[in-house]
Amino acid sequence: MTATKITPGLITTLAGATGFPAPSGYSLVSTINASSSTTVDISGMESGYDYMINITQWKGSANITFYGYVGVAGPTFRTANYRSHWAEINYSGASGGAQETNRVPISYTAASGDTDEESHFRVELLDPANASVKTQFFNRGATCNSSNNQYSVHAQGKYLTAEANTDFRFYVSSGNIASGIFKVYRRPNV
Amino acid sequence: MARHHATVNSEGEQINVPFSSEEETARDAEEKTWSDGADARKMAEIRRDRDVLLGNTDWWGASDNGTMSDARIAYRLALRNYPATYTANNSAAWPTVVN
Repeated sequence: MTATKITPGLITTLAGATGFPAPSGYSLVSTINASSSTTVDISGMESGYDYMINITQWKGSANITFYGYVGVAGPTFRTANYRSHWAEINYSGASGGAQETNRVPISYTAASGDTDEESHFRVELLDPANASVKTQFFNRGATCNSSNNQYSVHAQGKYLTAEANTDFRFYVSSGNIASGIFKVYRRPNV
Repeated sequence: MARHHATVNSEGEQINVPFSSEEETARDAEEKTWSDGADARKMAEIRRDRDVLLGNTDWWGASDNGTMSDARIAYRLALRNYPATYTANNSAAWPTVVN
């Protein structure tokens, strides 16, 4: 390896094997602001990257549940063939959960759109566009039910067919996503 | 605003894509299925809340507490029966906890 140093402490060019680690931090890809949106769709995910979607200031409406689908280019979203699970711990420490086979669970408890009941979530997809592996995902977040009770939520699982999931769709069980900021990040899967 | 998909285009700009007529039909069916299951979901939530309240009083039955009072027995029985007394408009009050 050779290096050119112009000023002390500043290397401006490198040649040959550097031995530097590959970049691993998340960088912002896009931002989508939901506003009475029936779905929020992410497309163009590339193989070789993990994706993370931070969802903040999210509101739905009373008594709805928040889900997702993985999809392939087109897009065509997958509405079956998942093995996933969600769990929650409510304000009093009681827990609940269920398996999901037809979608990606995000928030189990009915989420409300009342004032001061904004929810937040972090959904991670592990190299979803890699056609040779099954897409694995997990989520953690916090939400409220329609009685102003706070819940912690956790979900994880996978889509059971190895394929290039370049797309992802967020949606709610009924009505629209009233609001929410969806920031999409990615990092190399190294 | 009509149903739409919020997404970004190839330039990274946010766009809202209206639903097609086929998507509208499919979404109507999804929403009906969800609506039809409302009572079952509510009952599951009530049973879970009831189980929490019962669990909070499990210690009443510990052997070193002696015989459980009639009031406590009645309270726990009322909790067990509560889901059967629940009505869709949530008018049935939860049993009042006793000391």
